[in-house]
Amino acid sequence: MAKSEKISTIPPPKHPPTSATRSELRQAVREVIAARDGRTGNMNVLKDKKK
Amino acid sequence: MTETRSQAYARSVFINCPFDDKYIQLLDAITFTVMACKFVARSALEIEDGSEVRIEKIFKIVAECRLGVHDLSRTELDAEHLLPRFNMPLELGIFLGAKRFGGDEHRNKSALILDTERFRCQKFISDIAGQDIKAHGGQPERCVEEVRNWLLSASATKDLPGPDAITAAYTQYLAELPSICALRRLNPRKLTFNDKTNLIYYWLKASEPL
Repeated sequence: MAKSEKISTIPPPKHPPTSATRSELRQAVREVIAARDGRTGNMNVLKDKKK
Repeated sequence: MTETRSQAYARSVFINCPFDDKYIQLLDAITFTVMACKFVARSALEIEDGSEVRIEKIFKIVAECRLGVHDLSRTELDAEHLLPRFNMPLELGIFLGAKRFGGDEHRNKSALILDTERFRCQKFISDIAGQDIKAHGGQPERCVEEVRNWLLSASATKDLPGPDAITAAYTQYLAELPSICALRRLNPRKLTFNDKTNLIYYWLKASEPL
């Protein structure tokens, strides 16, 4: 990768989780965030806060 | 799209920090910051194959990471043996050795060296004098700032979120982690490194459009 190349995506972790499957973890995260967004609207926490 | 080996190498960060309970808040903050800045967090904790010799795991990860965060703050004597633990300085030495003797691919390795105070570690590793040591004071938010600022300079990436934004995101992630874990009947205090990196990954993806 060129040193100045823009990094546009979050690379996935290199190793599998051990306590639950990836899909189980992903689903749990989605459920909690969906519940939060339902209460508070959009929460793109890092958006528009770039230096 | 699958990353090439050199792309993965450029984005991989070896986190060489204490694993004990007293340090876990700092380790988690560092891991979150690395991933929030869109780098890959790597640790000896990620490989759970007991048949692999630990030092071989370290060699493999160092070989696969251009970047390394090394925390030398854990110098207290072990309660049982009354001796300090030297794993972090050893692994920093391996990283610096790879940079010095590892050939062209490793010459551009970059290390962030952390301690509680900026010049303290010169008292117990005097050969490190001349390296730029950063102090975190035992505070997660200072770890976030130091790691983020180092990633900005070490990678020449200009679009990283600011330290305050990362800290705010991390605070929110920590607040939601118990609820996330409860859905899978997991104990948030007993998550493995791999569980944590996966949870952070999905949380960041769901909270920020890519």
